[in-house]
Amino acid sequence: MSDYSVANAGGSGTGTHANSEQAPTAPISTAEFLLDARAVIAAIETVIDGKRSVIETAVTVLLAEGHLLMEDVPGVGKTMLARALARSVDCSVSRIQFTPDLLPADITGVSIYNQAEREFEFKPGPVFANIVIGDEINRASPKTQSALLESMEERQVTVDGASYALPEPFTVIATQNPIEMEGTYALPEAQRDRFMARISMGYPDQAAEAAMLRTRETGSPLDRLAPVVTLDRLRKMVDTVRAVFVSPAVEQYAVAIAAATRTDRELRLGASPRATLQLVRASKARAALDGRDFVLPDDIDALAVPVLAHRLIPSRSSASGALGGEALADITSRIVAATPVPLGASGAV
Amino acid sequence: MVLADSTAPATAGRVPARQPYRDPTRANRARALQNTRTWARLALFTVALLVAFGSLSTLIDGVVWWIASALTIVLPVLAIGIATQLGRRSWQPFVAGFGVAVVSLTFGYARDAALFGIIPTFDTLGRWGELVNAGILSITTQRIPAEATEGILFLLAILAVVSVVFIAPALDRVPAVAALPLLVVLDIPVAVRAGIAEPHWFVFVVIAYLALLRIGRRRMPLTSVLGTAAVVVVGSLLLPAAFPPAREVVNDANTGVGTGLNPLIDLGDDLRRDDTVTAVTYVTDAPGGLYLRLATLDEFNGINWEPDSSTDPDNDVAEFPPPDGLTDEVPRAAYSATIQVGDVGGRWLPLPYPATSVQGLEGDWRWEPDGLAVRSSGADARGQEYDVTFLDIQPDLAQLTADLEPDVPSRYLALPNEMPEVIAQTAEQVAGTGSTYQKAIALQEFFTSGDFDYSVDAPVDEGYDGTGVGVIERFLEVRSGYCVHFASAMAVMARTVGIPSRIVVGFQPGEAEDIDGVPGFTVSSADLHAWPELYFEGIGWLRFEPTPGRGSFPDYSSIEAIDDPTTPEFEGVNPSAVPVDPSPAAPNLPDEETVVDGTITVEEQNPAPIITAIAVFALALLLTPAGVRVLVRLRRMRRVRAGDAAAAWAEIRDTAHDHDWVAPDSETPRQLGTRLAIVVGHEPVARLQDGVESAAYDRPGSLTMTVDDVAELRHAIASAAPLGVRLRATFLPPSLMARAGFGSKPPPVE
Repeated sequence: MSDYSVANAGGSGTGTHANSEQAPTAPISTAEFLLDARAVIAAIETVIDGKRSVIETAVTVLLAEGHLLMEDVPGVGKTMLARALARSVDCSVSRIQFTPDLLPADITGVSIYNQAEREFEFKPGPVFANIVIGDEINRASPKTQSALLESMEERQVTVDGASYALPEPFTVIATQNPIEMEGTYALPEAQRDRFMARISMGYPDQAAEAAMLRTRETGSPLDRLAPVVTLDRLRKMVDTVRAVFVSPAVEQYAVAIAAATRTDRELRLGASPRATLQLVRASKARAALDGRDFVLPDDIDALAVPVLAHRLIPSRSSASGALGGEALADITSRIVAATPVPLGASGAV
Repeated sequence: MVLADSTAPATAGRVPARQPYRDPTRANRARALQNTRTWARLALFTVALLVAFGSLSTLIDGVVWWIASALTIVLPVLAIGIATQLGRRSWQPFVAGFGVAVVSLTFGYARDAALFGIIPTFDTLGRWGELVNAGILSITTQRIPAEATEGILFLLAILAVVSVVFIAPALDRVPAVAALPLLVVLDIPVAVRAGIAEPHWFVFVVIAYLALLRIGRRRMPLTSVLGTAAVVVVGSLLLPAAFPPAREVVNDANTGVGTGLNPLIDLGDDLRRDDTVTAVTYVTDAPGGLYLRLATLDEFNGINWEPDSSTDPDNDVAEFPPPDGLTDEVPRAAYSATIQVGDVGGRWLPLPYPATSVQGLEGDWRWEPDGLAVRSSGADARGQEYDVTFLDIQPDLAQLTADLEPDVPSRYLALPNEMPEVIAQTAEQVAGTGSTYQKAIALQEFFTSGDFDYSVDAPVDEGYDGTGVGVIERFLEVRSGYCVHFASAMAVMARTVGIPSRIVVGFQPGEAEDIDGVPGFTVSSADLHAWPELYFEGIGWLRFEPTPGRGSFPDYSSIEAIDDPTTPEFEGVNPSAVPVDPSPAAPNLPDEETVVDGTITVEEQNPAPIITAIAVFALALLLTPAGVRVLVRLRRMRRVRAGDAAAAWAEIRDTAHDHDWVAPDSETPRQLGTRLAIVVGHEPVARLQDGVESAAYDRPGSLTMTVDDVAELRHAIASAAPLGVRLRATFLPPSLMARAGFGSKPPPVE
């Protein structure tokens, strides 16, 4: 399977929501959901060793219909994780290597004049896939970045006045190098905001790294990875996540955390309402992965850093480099630790 | 792209979303508002407390005590206010208030026993202890209204300081606690005697208190205000019921005779009491019984006779000055007596007149220069045993009738400006135109010749009890009364005819009886007596006896053999102690042992109410945290029963907090549960945690928890803690302190 292949492209011009077609099928039980979700995680773990929590967060974002930004130094397995995640689900996957000369049309697709039909015909770009891997997204020009980011938010592509819906589910897994380099264009905050979560891979521990040395000698483990869930199953899992209950207390908690980021002294820019929305959505997926059908404040706590930190701008340092990112995670943790947890509708006594 | 065009709107557009910094002016405004509220609360609390202290005016005479108390209230309040405004830590106001309170108590009451007058030392503590004892004593021995002795002032100061230092720093967090000291102070008069409290004090205090509660809560609904008012009023009426021991003690204390600031005031009550006690026993080498004087009252203001207040502080009772006006020509005899004071509490020492020396007293006693009465500001006469030497003045007729112009301070002749005409008219008619001495004898005879009845009840029944000129007018009309009336009437009438006079309160000689095998006298509380003393230039003060049936005529009053064959040969020779009734017109006169009905009760002020109030206050302070904690728990358990998991979890969290767990409210049930499970076991925690999580965050109607689960976990947490921690958890629960804001300074408002 080519990394650049385009499969299952939604070529229809209408914006019909794919999910509505899936509605009649019976929802899956919590047990079935857990079984499948764990299968996905286990499958990815065969490729990425010792990064359980990163993998869980990635799966959480996938199930929550969000987009994932992986930010780390080169060579720690960002792309490997993205590909493993894409591969464990039997769905269309495309990979775009972002370069400074990449054009928007290289992502969205182009309308070509078909001389036989005597009309323009839309050739879908690589964005038409269930999972889109955007490698080194900050190497592309802002114009190209925004083409992708627009499709991420709107889940459709508009070319020459015609809108084309993207397949359902649609997840962008982007990687970027945090270190300032020549020829990179850092994502503006407005665009970072579109990613549900940002995760850092981090270096593997020594045992995992040693194990990797052995396994890589015998060929890429990615090749042995077979899909464990079907696309249909994935949609049902997404439906399950959507049905997870969020109590008013938890909503209040998420809002309180977001509000706290907006008034914190160390932050110049706090979390947007979209951030709050995505925090709750991601928490629902995490709750489902934990076998619950309701969200706990613990879910919010666990996801606050990945979901919120990359949207914040510190007030003191202008650069949001590696140090800035860690500092932001610390600030977010501090805010979460200081926000009272509401208890039930009656609130704290 | 033009930079200016693009950046300006972008910046403008971001501002609302960003809120990059706290707006400094807004923060300042919030702080200023907070400070204003703090000061407003402190001011209202101070006003309420000052008014509450004002309600004690029914118990204590004058205003000096109130001003002193006000100082000990205001100074710590100011310190607390400043510390609240400037300080960052919540304990700072308390420490500031405490420090200022200690310094003012030191400076105000133990200056000379402290370093630089303000730094307390062990000596200071000793002095304070003495003051407390003296205060308790003077409350015991005084009648209402009591004189504000230094001891009483100190007790009031302690009450004030405790009220301020422990309550004022908490006002910002829990304004309602202001009620505690206010109620305690307001209820002191109620506890001392039902019906003595004046309602208007309550009203003012309640108004100030409600205003205090309303600060910063403008939207407090009217029902809450009325509800609070009702609770405060009802509570203040119910609180006295918490003082039964005090009341019992008040009754018990009625067995003794109290001689307060002015023993004359309650003399009638003491005479009317139905249980007599042994007041004094004495043995003397004088031929007969002794009139024992307690207090000399020489200032007559038209209503009351008041004691001379000019005590020389530095004299010594071992040696008295020569009595006023006594010249060497006057014959005299020196005698001595050993006096044992029985159940007479108070600051006045029973002594014959004129005493020349007193030995063997305990405590600090001083003689008064004019009346030679001996009094103490701290010691108690009760139980004292002492030896006294004294003179018996025996003027001869020539000296008595010398009729020299009296050379005495004008107060001995002072009369109120407005006096009923009848008094002076009667006096002139009775006194006639003879010598001073003849006038005095005539006045004495006027009262004792049979026209006047002795009755301890008649003046009370007729409503003219007392010593004022109006009373004397009625007394001259009704011609019935007891020693106070006779003494006051004769003293006033003597002054109208130009004879200097004063009233003495003391005991008539009593009953001859063997004291430890030696012939002596026993004086009972029924022998309490008042008599006039008149001044004769060259001789000094001489006792007269205008009360029919009481005491005895002095020798000199019969020198002329005025037609009174019953005159005894020496004063006080009255072996039966049942006086000869010189008044056949009133055969049924009650004598000094009259049993009266209980309508007029002996009103003895007792330290118990104030001590009890302070103790109750301290105990209430001590138990308040525990009580509030229990109330909070009960309320939560009620809600748990109603299915409120949040209440259950809040209770568990506070329990954990109480037992030294850090349980911030930013912790989720699961996080705390995980930590708790390490110590108290997974089982109880897991059940409660699941219950809480389901109930708090799952769909409504999910599984809830039981009170038993909470109780079990509470027990598990408590039993894992050491005893000290558990005790503190009960009596000083940290969760409550944190709730009240003692753990950290609260964030600025808004």
